Amino acid sequence: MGEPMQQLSDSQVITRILDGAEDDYAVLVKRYKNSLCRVIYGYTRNWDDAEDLTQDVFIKVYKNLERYKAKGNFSSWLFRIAVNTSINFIKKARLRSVPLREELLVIDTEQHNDAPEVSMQNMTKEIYGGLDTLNQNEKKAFVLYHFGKKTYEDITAVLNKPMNTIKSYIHRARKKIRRHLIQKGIFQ
Amino acid sequence: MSEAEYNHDCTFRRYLQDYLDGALSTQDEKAFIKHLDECERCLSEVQQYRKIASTITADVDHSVGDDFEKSVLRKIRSVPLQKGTHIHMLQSLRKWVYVAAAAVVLVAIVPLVIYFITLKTPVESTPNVTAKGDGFFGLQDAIAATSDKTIRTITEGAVVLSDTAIDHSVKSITTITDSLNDNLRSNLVQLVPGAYPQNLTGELESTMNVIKINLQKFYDDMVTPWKNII
Repeated sequence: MGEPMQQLSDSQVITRILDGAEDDYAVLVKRYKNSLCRVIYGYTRNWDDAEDLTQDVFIKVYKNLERYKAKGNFSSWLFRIAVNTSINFIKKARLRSVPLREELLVIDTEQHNDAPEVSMQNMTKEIYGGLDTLNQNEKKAFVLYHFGKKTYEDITAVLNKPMNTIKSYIHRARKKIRRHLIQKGIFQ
Repeated sequence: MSEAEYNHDCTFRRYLQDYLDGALSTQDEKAFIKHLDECERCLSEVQQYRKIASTITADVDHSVGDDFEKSVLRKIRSVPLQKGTHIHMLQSLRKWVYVAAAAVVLVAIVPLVIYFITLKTPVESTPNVTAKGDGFFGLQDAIAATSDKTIRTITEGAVVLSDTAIDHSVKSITTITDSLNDNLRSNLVQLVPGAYPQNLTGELESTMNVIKINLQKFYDDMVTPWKNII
């Protein structure tokens, strides 16, 4: 796949795919796979699950590529599907009572007690604990911003909410997570 | 940290989130950075938010493998997409749904329409029915012919024909009614499981009886007198 293909817009690539160039879908997969996988990981907290779900999302999107033509922004549509797929995955996992990210449930107490510096692992664990205190909208916006490295404009398009609402979600989410870390003694 | 300390009272604090987002104007940003030199609490809070962000960034430092695209392509080849495939399938499916719905309507509604038009309407109009082709044509001819004694024999024949026609009509209507009754019953049961075909049967039988009574009345009122005259 040459450089010119990478320079095509999402729309142009999709037009080629719909015209029969099925393999060009790899361009879109390559373009979004990492950020999409990070966003999904914000929910699954397990890279294997995140990669599996990322693949499922790309296949689901491919199957419905015709529909995208009328929708406009491919990236927003892709991430919206990813977020919804992740939420469904979490719901099902909870129904099955499968613990998420088991490795994080092991608290690194030795390091925590001995060192004034909080271990990275414990800090990470409690950040995810803080994520669980967020409401659905706050979590979506926060994960898209901090995990997916999406801009406020991108998130506005994905969640279909005004910019100020998105800012408010993210700011509230940060404050809640910080408060959670203070309550857990991670922050002084 | 107490709640009061968590929400420390600082006039600059309202700029903190926008500062983290890099959303302050150059002037406001300079003022806020200067404030951070003076306000330990705001500085600490900024550092904590940055720690949260950097911890997440470190935790999600993960790259999906290079063979990922190939794997996705392999899977989508099992569900190849041709332009418009799904839309066309939906349109095709929708067309068949319409056809099926139309067929159901025809099967279910047409007998009902026939029932109301063919069976019910004559109940009200039977005494006046004299149209051609309805089995009473001979009677009409007979009535017209009575003024002409020369064709009395023809009239007699017509009255006899009318008599037979009425019997024939009753038999025909009975057959049609039974047939419609069966169709309606089976269609109703198919369409609405648990429907009450026995009620329908009762209604049709009742209608049939009314038709028979009306035909008999017509026969008695119109044909018998002419028989007596003849």
